[in-house]
Amino acid sequence: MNDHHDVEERLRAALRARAGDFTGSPDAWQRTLARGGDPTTRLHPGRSRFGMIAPLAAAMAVIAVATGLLIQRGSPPLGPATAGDATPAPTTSGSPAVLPPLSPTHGSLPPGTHVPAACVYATPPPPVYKVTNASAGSMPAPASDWLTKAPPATPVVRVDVTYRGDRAVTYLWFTRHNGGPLALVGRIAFLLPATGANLDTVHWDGGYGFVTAVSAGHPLQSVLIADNRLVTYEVGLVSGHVASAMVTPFRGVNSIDALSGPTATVPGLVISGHGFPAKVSVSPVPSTPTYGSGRLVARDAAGKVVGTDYVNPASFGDWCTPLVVADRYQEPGGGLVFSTGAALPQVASVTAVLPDGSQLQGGFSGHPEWNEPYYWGWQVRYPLKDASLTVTLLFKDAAGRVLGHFTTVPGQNPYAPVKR
Amino acid sequence: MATSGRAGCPYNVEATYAGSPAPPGSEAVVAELFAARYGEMVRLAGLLGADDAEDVAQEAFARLLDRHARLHDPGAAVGYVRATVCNLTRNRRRHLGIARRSAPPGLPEAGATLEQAVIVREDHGEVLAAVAALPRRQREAVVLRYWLELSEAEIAAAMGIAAGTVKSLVSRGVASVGRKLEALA
Repeated sequence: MNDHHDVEERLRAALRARAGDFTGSPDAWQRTLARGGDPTTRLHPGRSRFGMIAPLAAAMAVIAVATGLLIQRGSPPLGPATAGDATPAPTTSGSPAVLPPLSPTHGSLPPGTHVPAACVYATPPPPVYKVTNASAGSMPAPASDWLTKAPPATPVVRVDVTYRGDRAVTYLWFTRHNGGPLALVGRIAFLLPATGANLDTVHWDGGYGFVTAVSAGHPLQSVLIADNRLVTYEVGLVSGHVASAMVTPFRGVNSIDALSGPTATVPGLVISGHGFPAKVSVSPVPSTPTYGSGRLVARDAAGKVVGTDYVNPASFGDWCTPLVVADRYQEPGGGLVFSTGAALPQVASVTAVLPDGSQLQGGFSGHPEWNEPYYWGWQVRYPLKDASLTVTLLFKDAAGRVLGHFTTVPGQNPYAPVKR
Repeated sequence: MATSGRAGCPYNVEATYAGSPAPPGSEAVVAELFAARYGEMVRLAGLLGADDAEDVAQEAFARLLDRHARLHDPGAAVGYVRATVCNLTRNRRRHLGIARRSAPPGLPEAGATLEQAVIVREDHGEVLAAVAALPRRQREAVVLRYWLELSEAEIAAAMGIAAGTVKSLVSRGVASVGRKLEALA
């Protein structure tokens, strides 16, 4: 048993050791001074200002603070819509059903803002997978580096995934580092419709394992196989549709689904054979305007759920509304909090309407330096005993006009209770 | 109203100064802070999983240069830079489309040798992997607590969350790491 103190000391030692691997360059100050212009685009000079919106909104999920939070439980139900309301206010019943749906036409959007007409909640067709054995010669140019640094101990398998118009190619094999245990190696490239196949634009991530590198800018990752441990890679795609793909080595699992959004269940592909010592799954995760709502659900041959893991598909693309609920978590005091970034400058307040018509006023917070002008974190908290309630979140502008709403339905939308 | 909530941000900015240029001397002040803290910020970005920790740290200081004059409390500059590093790292990871919930913090960067990775694995890999498997907020809180040894209030400021939430995040994070290490034992 690891006691608390021992764990703390191991944490300190491991983080201290790892921190020592990061050092600054001698000309860092000069390079810092040389940075100029619009600070919002410095990190990614090729991106438009609006290109920051999705990541910032997603990031806002973690920067909402309790400051300014005002709970007004039991306050009168919302009254009639004020003059000039873009949409009607809810009735005193508080029933979400009477609210108008969120519309992409929220008045004057910031210049250049694109709001997709279609909402991501439509269930997309399932992904199409194609599995082939890959020879070294058929792999992209960087493969010589990959294979040198992580020599295959098994055949190399290529998995092509097509999902909602995007494609991803994944090369998988197992390697043995210095005679150590077999480790899964994956190399994933997304074929972006706008740019065509470009294996140099690989975005690469991996987890629960250890990483080596194969070439500058192209880290190659491997995952040690652990008995009955659901281990995931998550690889996001800055594209309009497929948000993430996972590579999961596991035992005792017969199928795996990716769940994200209120309705989307995306069947993953379970790969066995090919000389692999363990089954591997690959699946895209449907994009969603929420963050952190994705899950992988692994089942055995009898259909029994044997493991789940959360995945965090990036919310790029498919931005069906600029009002985004991105996170839900329990506060230590027993409250349940919804938080997110508000992607419209007009949004000035957020209110949770409970089924009995009572309202909880949320607060906005954030650091002016942290966000684009269009983003402010907000949160609204209600007692934990209400966690199973359907709650409607209303967003209003400074004049009190309802800009839109979002209805949370525990168990049916991304806001099923999440333990953190 | 949004503005009332915004006023609660940890580093208040004097609105009337918005857009004003940094006064003479600001660069020197930031340079001094840079000399003292740059390495720390690089390491923080690295531990939080930034793909280019130096880039993040430099950007954070560049933003401080832009806005140092507007910081209501110059003494908050360190906290501001720290918070900016946290936020930029998050944004960066989102931009890359990678959600490294499962990734070890501060993964060896491109160019690192396999041997380095093996060393990390042998010494601390289990712990780092367990930290990496934490939910994002827990991971950030744990890194800020056990690497930077920040107080709950400082962690709250860096993460932009309530101080009361920090304790819970750290506690849950440590417990989760402990369970994972125990399972591996």
